[in-house]
Amino acid sequence: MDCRQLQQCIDDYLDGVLPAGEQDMARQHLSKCKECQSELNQIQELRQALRALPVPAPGPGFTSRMLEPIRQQQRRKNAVNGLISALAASLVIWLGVHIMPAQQPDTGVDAIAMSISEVRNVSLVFRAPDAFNKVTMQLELDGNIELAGYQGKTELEWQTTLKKGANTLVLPIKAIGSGDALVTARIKHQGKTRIFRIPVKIDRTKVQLRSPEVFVSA
Amino acid sequence: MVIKQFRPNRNIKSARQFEQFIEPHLPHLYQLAYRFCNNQADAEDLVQDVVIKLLSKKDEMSRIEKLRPWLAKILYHQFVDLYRQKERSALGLVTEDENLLSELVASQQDSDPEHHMEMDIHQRHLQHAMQSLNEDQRTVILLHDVEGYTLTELEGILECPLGTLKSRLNRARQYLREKLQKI
Repeated sequence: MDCRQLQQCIDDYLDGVLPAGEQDMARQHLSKCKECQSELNQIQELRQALRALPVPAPGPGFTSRMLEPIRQQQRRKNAVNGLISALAASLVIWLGVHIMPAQQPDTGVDAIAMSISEVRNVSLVFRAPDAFNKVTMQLELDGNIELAGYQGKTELEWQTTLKKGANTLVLPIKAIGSGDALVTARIKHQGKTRIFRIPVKIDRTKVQLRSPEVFVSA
Repeated sequence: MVIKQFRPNRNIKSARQFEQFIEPHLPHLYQLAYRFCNNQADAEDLVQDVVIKLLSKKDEMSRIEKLRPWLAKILYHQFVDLYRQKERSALGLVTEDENLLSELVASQQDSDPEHHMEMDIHQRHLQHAMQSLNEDQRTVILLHDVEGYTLTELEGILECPLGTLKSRLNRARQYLREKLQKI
């Protein structure tokens, strides 16, 4: 091995990744050539100095803070799974999902009539004309309603997929006071949003539902 | 005879498994992030961005043979995407400050102050010399000479030919030596 060849592989030699034969040849050359040995020493000195540059420790609770997004995502997933697995729908609303550019809310859904303290499982059935991946689902609750088991939460968001055909989301809606309330469901896909608004009327006296199923065509 | 190539098949399906898997790598990711960002807050933000990104790459991560360079590649590209575009690179953050050395001298309170002062002054000069490298050269020096990735690994991390990497490395070292010799 001559000086030019050694210069070509000097970093691989230092990194210890040269094949055994070449590593030996480089070592032999270095033992005879002061210039190459000097170059090698300079590189090693510079490396040592660079590796000694300090890195301050991260802030307190670093590991926990770094992992928090994963834990949050898991909590959201658990909450959504809980919602979806709710049983026995007592009210079914059919919603057509054609992911369209328009952001106009869907209309024509009859109001759900409830009485105070009543909990009613409302099934939203999203009828998709095709399968959609990476759909963002947002739920917003306005007025005197909440989701049973999720007190105080007025907004939920998660990523999901929609299969072709009917996709059911069961919401255990609880009326916590009288007056008008609103459930807003937003489905977002590739920058397009479809909004569904389901009005809820809560009276002090229990009102019979007009229909157990409401069909809304897209 | 058929020789089967070893392919890792880590089980990283649940969030909990992902958490357990990624946790031991966090200190190294932070160290690398700090080398790029040169400040603690940005380094922590960068690591968090990487963790979030990795969460969507669980399947790919399960099959990666050499994880360390793969993680470095993801962190580097995240740094380039988020920080260089915002012109928040450490290259632009650090400026020469003539008062730094006098402050450093004044702050020395050690049993062997002369020795430690020399060490810190040398490191400070080296740090400044590093910041004044162009970004390509600085990246190669950081990943190779500081963090110990081999040139073959850097080919994959930086997606750059070996010859170009060697040339950047040599120029960067030459530049650093000249800067340090002037002191």
